[in-house]
Amino acid sequence: MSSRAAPKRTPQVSVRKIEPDFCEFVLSDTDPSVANALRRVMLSEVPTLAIDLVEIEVNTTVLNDEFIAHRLGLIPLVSQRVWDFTGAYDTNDDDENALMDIVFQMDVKCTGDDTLDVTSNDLQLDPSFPDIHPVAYSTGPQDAQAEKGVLLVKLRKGQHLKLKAIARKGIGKDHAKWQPVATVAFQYMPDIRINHALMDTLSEEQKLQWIQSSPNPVFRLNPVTAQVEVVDAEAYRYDGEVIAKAKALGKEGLVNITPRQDMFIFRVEGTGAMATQQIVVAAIDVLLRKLDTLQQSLASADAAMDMDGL
Amino acid sequence: MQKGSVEGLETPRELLDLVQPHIESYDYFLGEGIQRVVEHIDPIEVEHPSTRNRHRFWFENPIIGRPVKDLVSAGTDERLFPTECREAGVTYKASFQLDICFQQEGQGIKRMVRRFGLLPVMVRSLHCYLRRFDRKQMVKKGEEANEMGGYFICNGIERVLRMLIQQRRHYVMALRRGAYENRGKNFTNMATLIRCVRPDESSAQIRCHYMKDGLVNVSFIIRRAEFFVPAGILLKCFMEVTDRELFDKISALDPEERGRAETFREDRAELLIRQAAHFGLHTRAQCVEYLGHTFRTVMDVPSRRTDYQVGEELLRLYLFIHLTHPADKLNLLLFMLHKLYALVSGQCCEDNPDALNHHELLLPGHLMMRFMKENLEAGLASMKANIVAEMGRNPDAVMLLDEKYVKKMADKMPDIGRKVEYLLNTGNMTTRFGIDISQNTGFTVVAEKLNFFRYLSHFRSVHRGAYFAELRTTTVRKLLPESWGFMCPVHTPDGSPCGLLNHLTAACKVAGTGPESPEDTDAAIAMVLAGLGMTPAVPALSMPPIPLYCVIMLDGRILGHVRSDRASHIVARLRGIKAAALARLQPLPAGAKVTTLQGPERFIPAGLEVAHLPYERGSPYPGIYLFTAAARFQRPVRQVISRAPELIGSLEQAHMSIRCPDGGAGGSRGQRFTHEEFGTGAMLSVVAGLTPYSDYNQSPRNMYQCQMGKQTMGTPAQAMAHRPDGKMYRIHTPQTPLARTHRYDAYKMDEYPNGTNAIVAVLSYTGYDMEDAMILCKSAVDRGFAHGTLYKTDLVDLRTDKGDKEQVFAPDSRKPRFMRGREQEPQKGAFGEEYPQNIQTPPTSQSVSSRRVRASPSHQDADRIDIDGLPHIGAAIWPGQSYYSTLDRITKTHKGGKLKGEEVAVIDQVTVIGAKERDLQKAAIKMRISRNPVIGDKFSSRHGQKGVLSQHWPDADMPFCPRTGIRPDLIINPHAFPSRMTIGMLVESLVSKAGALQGKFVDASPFQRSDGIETDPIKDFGDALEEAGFARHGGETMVSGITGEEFAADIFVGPVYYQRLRHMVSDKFQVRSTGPVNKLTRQPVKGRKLGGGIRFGEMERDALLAHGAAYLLHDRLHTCSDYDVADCCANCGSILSPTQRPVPLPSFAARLNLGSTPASKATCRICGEGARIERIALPYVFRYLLAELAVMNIKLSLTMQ
Repeated sequence: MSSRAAPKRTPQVSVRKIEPDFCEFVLSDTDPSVANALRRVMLSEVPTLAIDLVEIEVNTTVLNDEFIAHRLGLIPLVSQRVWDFTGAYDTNDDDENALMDIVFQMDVKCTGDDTLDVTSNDLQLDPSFPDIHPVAYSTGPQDAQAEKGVLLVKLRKGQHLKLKAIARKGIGKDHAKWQPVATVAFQYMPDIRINHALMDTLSEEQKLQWIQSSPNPVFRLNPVTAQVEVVDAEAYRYDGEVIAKAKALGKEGLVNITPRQDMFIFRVEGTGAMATQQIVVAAIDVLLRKLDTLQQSLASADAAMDMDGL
Repeated sequence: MQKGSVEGLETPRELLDLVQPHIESYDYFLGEGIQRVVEHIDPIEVEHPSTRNRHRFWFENPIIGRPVKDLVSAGTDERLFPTECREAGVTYKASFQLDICFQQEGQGIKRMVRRFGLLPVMVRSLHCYLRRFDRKQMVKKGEEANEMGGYFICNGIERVLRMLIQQRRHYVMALRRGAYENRGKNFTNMATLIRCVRPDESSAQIRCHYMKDGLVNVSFIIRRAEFFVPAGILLKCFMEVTDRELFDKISALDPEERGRAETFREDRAELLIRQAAHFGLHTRAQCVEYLGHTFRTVMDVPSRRTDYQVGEELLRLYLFIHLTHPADKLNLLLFMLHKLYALVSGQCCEDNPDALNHHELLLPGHLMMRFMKENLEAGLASMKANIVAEMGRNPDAVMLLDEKYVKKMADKMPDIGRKVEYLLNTGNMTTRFGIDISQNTGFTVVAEKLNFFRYLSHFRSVHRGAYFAELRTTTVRKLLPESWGFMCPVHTPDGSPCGLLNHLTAACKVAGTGPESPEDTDAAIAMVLAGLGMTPAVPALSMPPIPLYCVIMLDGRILGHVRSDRASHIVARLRGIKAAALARLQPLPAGAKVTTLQGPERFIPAGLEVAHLPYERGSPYPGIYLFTAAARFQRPVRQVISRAPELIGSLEQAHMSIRCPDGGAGGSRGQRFTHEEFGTGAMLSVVAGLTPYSDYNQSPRNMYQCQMGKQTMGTPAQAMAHRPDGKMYRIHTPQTPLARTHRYDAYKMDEYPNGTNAIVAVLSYTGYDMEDAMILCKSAVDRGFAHGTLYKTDLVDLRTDKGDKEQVFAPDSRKPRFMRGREQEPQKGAFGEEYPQNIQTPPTSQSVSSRRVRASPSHQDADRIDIDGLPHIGAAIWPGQSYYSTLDRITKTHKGGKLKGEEVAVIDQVTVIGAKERDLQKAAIKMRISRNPVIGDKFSSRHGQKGVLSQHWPDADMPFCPRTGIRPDLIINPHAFPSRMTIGMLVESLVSKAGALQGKFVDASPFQRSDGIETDPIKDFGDALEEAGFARHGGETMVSGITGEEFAADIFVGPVYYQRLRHMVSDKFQVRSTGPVNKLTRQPVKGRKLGGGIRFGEMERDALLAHGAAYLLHDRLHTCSDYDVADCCANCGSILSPTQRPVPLPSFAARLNLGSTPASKATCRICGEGARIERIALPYVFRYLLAELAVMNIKLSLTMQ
């Protein structure tokens, strides 16, 4: 195999913000393909747990069985332990002990005159996996302050819902309920180059006008040097307003803005199934494993070709 | 903006107003209407052959009851409610009875009650229990909370009597029609005509035909036959008038004008007077006798009546039936002559019979009245016929004073309730004498509850009449300016009913009844007019001429005349009175003031129509025409000066000057605006008014949206559990639109939402969005986007007509499969999808012992069918499985009802019908079929932009916005816009995006700026977008989800409200490789239901030939069709003669060894040898053709090479 001479780079990650369900980091010194691969994996290939099979015993609610099953499936489950499980579709070996199902029970009946909300808090956890539960799960007395859980259905007097829900491991590619993120996106860092020589031909007033033509605060006029500076390149929306303004001022080429092809600002919004940094790490892990698989199969293909005497 | 959902206990006024024409007219029928019908039926008279006594029979005292259950035990509620009728599949009807009165001449009246069956009752009419129910009570009874009524329930199905357009009553129209020339020799194409309507709503048309010789013939209709009478004779029939008087009346000349050169009318007046004299008729008595003598045979009157009496009867029954006084009738005839002369001389123009100002509506209640009259008359006539027949056979048995005998005869009268039910069920009307309606089918339609748009459109639709649908000319379909404000120009289907099936505008009302006491109202109007300067019509005086004077006519009766220059003054005063009368019915808007009413003015109805047609040569004939009668179109406009609302009719509208909101200060020359519209919405129907920013769209797109809005899967009803409709579609996750018109809130559309706000990106991305295809994000669909359900209800009725009890629901008692040791294969769908499983509870289960759960029964289909033979609620039924089972008690055989189709159904509800019977024989089984979006399903925005789902595109591959991470739910191709010019959709997207960012709903009503709201959505919402950090024109930089590279162009993204249409592939796909064939020809059958194929026709064949695709052609036309192998004798060329030579039975041993069976030999029965017999492949039809030809003694031989 030939290897093309490419400048060797070490991708850098600098984390800007980490919250339980949000994180923002900058990935630099790599290509859009890598950034996109990371995004795609986070979106659809990081496994999580979600309810996949529902056995309904009693349902006298206003919503029908399929509808309730669908709603149950969409509840994010805290999936820290997802790696201990085997997905329903990837049991390739006959591992008798493979963990597959987490069984939740639900049995709610409305006996009062008021409407009763059935939420994810009404799911009874699997005693073997007490740490696998819906997000924002609480079983204590539910006052207004407490987390209410995800609303499933409302009951009136006499209505009864009894079911068994089985959660399994899966990936977002198969169904959106297994996506660990609400959204993940990366943004190209704009590369803004001001032609200072041309800029200096503008009067101060014109400079201010030009700066204000941008709907978002990207530039500022340094009061000391009277030079136009970039304050927040990220705020630029590729709206083209400043370029149009420059043209209107008769100074085409005043500024040159291109997206940088090696720097990406990632924003990950989690569903609560996993902490966001875990998602990122898991995604990288999945990617690595994919590369491993690829490498191995390439090697075996090479070996096969050698055998054939090619 | 206010919210679009209903609050409080009252049904919203706006919704009730939509069905007002239906309910008001039916209420009238229930009350006064039926009374009038019975009053206007003439008694029948028979003469007993032996006693020579004359006996009269007539009806009196009609009573329509309320719907009750027929079998109720004492103490329980006997009321029958609409829900119960729907669920049980019966008709919502109430008893109808009449008194039959009979009298021997000179003796007292005897009466007896006769029931005439059960009459269907309109929901929410006066005799419906729901009339006074509030929303809470409605819900309690299993009705829609916002039930508006206006329909009938026939065998559980909701049906609406369609409103039909008919000619305006009591208005003389001048027409030119080629057909009139065919009436006979000398007839010209000119005539004036009037449609007269009695208080019982039966109508008759009178025409005055102009003849080439200057004479006039009057035509009228007796029992569907048209008759002509010379006007000269008829003029003398009504009153005793001298020829001089008549001459003055006909010529109607201004005293100053007399003797001028213009003698047109004088000449004709003289001709008419001479006409009567020509027949030798001079006095009134002579004329009437002449009429009576001539029409005696047609009218079927007793022979003892004199000619004079018959003539009088003719005048009463067939001529100007809306009038009673002979003087009025004469005046009207004279008026018709004047208008005819004016038409002939070119003084006035002809009237357009297709224009809405000459139209009124046939309302449900009025149709019922006519239908009842016809049938009651027929009932009496049949009774008479029966009596007369019996008199001929056995006169002594006829005892017309004996109640028992009369009852026996009366019982033979037909059941009228049944006839009305037949009318409603089929929409067909069978009439004997004809009731002056030009069609006899298509009177009813089913009020489908597909979604709310469609449902309410049924009550607002108006049909021009079945006759016009066949007409080859398109003039009747034209949208005329006269329709403005009454008929929606947007909301009409395209295709064959275009322009014939119209919809009323939202504000349009139809007068359901006339004034409460017509006599008092008429008198009041006459008094007010006299006070305002009208000269009342006096029989002795002749009518003064136009244009100096102008006639005042009220409901087809000439009240008097007024000098033309005083006319506008009178009209202005009448309008003031109208507005004041309206102010008493509804609160006045702020800032408006009305006059105080004095004396008789207080009796003038708000619905009075004051059409003032000023004189202008070549314009319609002048006059002030007043109308109070029912069935007229009405709509509110605002008076400019008083700011008070006034109801105007369609005839008066054409001669008023009404300012449109964007009309500026102008108006016609010499005329100032007296009225103005309430808003730009006045021209739109409810459905058309719900299209956001429809003023930005190319107009046909708005028409398409009106159609598609009515085909949307939405929320058909709230009381789904109580509705057994055969088919119902419902979406699971409906939303309220971000951009909505003010109509949306006014009509409380949030009660029945119809779609979803989807994030739509306009880009050409994958190639799967060409030609109106669209792409949905798979994850969006996974999360429930546009998920839906189809509800199907099967009404299983095991009762036969005879009412025997052989068939009952019962489980198939044979042992279940799993107990016979055979595990059922998990069946899979056509595309490999797994079917849902029903989990059974075996008797050994732990829950049976510990938790007292009932074990599954142990019969054949125990997994889905319960011990009563009906399915379990929630059971999944696979295609081809039975979902109920029955037992024939006589043959002891079991049968199951198989589920048709290719989809899995889940049992939603089982309703057992029948209160008393112990046997289970009737049940409604409601099934639910999941209809989540699949490739091929149809979607549309609210701008006539429909598309077909082409891919569930993986989420990771969808383009995304780098900053927000938003991935669109839906991608459409930009090519959908340039040629269609649906800018409204782009504006909706932009505006919804800003609204979503601000957390506000956006008012997207059309023509806002004309309504005085200073707004520029593109600028205003652009600013809002910019403030929120988005580009002001809605574009965004997007990144390809596949490569991670930014697109070169900005992509237009934003939320658009999308509707899912009910056309789904699951209902339409048709696949076949081999399958059922026609027995005779062995060619594939057609039809999706039968598993047939789609015809590969001639033109398709041509295409394959042109491509030289011979193999494919052979495959389609032969291999996949009627491929057959035949033996053919090469000697004689026949394929009919070779027969198989009988082969001796192989031995048992040989039979076991099947492979070595020798190939059978064939011989030709003609040639007697088998040596040259060849096997050839040919289409089976060819062999069939040969056989058929052989039958006809034609031999066809093949040459083998």
